[in-house]
Amino acid sequence: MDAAEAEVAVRAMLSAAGLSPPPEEVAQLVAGYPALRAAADALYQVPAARYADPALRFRAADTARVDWAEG
Amino acid sequence: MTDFPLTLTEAAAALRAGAVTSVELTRNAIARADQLDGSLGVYLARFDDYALNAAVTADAELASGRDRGPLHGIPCAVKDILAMAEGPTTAQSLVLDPDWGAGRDAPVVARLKRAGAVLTGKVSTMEFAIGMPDASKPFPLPRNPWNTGTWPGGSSSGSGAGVAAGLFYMAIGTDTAGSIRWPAAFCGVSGLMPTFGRVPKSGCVPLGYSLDHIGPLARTAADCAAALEVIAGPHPSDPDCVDAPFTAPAPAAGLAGVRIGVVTENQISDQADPALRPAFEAAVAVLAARGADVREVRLPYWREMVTANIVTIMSEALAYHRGDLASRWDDYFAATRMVIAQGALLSAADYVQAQRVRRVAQQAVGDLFTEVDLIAAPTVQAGAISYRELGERGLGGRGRPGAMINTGYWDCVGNPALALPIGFTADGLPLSMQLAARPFDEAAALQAGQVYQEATRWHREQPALAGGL
Repeated sequence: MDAAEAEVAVRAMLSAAGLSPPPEEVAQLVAGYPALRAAADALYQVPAARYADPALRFRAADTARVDWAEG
Repeated sequence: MTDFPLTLTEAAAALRAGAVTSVELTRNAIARADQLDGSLGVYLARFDDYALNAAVTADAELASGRDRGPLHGIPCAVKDILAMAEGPTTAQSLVLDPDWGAGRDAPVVARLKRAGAVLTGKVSTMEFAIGMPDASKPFPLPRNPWNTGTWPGGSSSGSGAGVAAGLFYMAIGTDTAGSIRWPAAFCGVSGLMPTFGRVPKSGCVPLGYSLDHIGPLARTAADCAAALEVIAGPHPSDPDCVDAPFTAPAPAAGLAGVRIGVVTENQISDQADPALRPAFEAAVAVLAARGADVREVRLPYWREMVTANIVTIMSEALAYHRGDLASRWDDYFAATRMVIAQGALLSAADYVQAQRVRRVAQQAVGDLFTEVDLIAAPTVQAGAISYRELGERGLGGRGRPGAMINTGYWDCVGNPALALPIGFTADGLPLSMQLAARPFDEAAALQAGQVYQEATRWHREQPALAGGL
């Protein structure tokens, strides 16, 4: 990914998220993006994760709404 | 009384022996805060009157034979991202809604109160437990008692600095990538990140929902054990929190039969402080001399867990902050907004893939723990960084402090880890090792920590600034 591609991608994703940092901070995000992208891409290269179940939580029976100041 | 106990457990014993009262301990804590906090920036809010009233009650209860346990009558503090009824929760931010948590106690705070702890106030954090100190915002810059030109680490900055300076005996911190163990290391105190799901995290401003751990910073492993016994246990408001009883372990005579894996790969880089390797090797030698079976191991999926930690924090934090980031960008600390905004540069699939790799690493670490009972590694690769250097270099990137902490791995896999002081750099700044254990086996790490601290004095060292009182 070259700098121009990174800039286009970062600007588009920030805009999609409704974020509008000033130019100097966009430049910092653009500069760091290729490394972040490469690190995230490397997670797809872990063979043992090919059929792994993600460590997410969702339990259908969790229907009670419990306030944390109670109980 | 002029010579006050140094540790929580010593203070608890002195209270029961009649050598000191809770009111005396609390007045001393207030006096130390009056003298030192102007230069340390520990407190965001002090509750002197509330604390003194709690101390009076504690003394009366103890005198009447009502003993609520080892925290009863002990001055303690709470990181200002947990709700406490006596004051507002700020998360050290202009952004957090001041009504959030107003007049209410987080379950952990409620448990501390029920245990008779004397809560002296709310203490500093990095904004929303992430980012960096920002002098442009109206909050104190937390400073390290070992050298006030250096940073105490974060994000539980005030918790670490306050324990090291003797402003209180224990403080609650939180750990999402190392925020208990990092300040514990920089400030030369002990800090325990419990197993994920050991302590309810509701009533605490979230950073990473699947990574946040609440735990104690205190002078010793035994102090941390006493605190964990109070705050552990399920709460219906936190679906992650499980019913796994914890009892502070009895002191062990030694470590015979305990298998300890020692990790140096990726933990002591060419950027590490020169004093770290010999200090860590000496610490491991102490464990071996006390009977531990020590062997070299490597941590599986190290690099992947470093990435998974970052991806997960950025993604989970952005979900919480996106609305405020969009409308109040400038109100955030500069470092906070730049870290969290990177969540927008990741995809939903990236997030889920990080959770798949976490599962793989979790299982690989489980396999490793069939061969060893504990894993020892340096907590951080250097002593506290100076504010000058922090301003020049920032936190992230190779050779920078963010790349020198060895803590986020354990947040990702969820195992407990205990940070312990092990010596000093040539500049007199503390160094630290961490002992990780199997899930819900904090007792193994705490017991080994106690054995280590019976054989060493690092945990009793005090910064000149604090010891001079």
